[in-house]
Amino acid sequence: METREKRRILVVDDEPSFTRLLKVNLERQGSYQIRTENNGAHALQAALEFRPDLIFLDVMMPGKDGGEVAAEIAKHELLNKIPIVFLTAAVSKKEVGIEGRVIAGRAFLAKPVNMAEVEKCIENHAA
Amino acid sequence: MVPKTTAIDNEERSRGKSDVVERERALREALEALRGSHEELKATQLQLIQAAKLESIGRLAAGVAHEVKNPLAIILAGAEYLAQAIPSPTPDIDETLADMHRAVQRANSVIGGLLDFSAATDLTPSSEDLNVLVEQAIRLVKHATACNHVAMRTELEPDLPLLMLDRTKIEQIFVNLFLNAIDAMQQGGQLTVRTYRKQLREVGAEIGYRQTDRFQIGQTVVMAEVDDTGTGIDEKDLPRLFDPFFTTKAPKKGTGLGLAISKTIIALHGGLISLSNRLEGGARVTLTFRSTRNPGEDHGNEREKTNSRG
Repeated sequence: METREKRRILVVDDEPSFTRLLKVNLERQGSYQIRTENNGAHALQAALEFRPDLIFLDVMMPGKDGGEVAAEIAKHELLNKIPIVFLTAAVSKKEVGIEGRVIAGRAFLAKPVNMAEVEKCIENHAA
Repeated sequence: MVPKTTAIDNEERSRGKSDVVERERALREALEALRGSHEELKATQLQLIQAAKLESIGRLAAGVAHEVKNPLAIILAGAEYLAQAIPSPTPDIDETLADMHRAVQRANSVIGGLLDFSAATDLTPSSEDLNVLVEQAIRLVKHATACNHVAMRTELEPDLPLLMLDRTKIEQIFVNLFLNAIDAMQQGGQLTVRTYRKQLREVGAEIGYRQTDRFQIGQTVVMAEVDDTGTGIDEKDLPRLFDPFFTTKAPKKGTGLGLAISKTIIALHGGLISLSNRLEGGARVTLTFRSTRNPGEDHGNEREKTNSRG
């Protein structure tokens, strides 16, 4: 039987309820392994430990915001190939569409999202 | 014979009288000018209040959007989780989850409206034929007109001068105006959209001879009118129609932002929008767009025509 390795997704968002629900919903599908992180300052460490295929990153977070986290990851030689999608309430679906859009080299997905949108986005962007 | 002194007296008196008349005339003129300045000041003050109101709402919008969309994301993800986790949901459970989905979408569309409002400042204007934009907007509401038994009538003047317009935003305004008109005709009716060019001849709100007037007398403009045969607008509501969050629609039917956004967008185009009741019944929205030619050129063309005739 073919066993396809699960895609590893790191979700960084300061809303614990959101990261928890995204984790259970995605893991129920069977093809994803999710790690969540609610503190932007710990995101780099989490990425180093987990080595995800894609990172969903909130933009507006207390302490270290999404922009700073993305810059840190992009500078790190072990992590700079990992695609980052900003999953954020700071953009609207009208601006980025339902499946997300790349603006100025950055991929965005607008909250609120349903799981079909999230999965489609992973398929489009994951390494 | 009239004594010399009396003659001088009379002369002085009549000179004095004409002085008084002259001073009185000057005073009346000064008073008139003062009244004019006062009116202008009042209008400017109102504009400033309105601008401040719009600006603060714009600022608020981005913050509110973020704070509301995060909980919405949690509710949506939660509803999706429950839909999967409940092994054999009853119809009631299914309906409840569907209601939650719809509620999230509705709240999100209100937030979308708020963001549109704050983003209304970014225009991408290009040279456009207003009639083409109107026709595109008509296509977008075709379904709504058919469902509500509304007949669409167009009176579009051909060969209008091209206008500098943000195509998407102007189409959005027409769609919004058409949907408002359809909503106002619950029993069906007729929606008429009309475009024409016109030379401004009458002083009106923001139309006049003053530098501060948005449009000058003599200027050629392109007009658009959207008429409905609905119930019209209650006179007491007329002054508030363009206020953000003011709506005459039933709860859940409108966000109260459509006309406020339309006004902001039209103002950014240097145009005017007004709403009035028609004598025949129903309401009329009037849009005034500046033609790309400036008023000076209009006068020049008028002169040229006169000269060639003379």
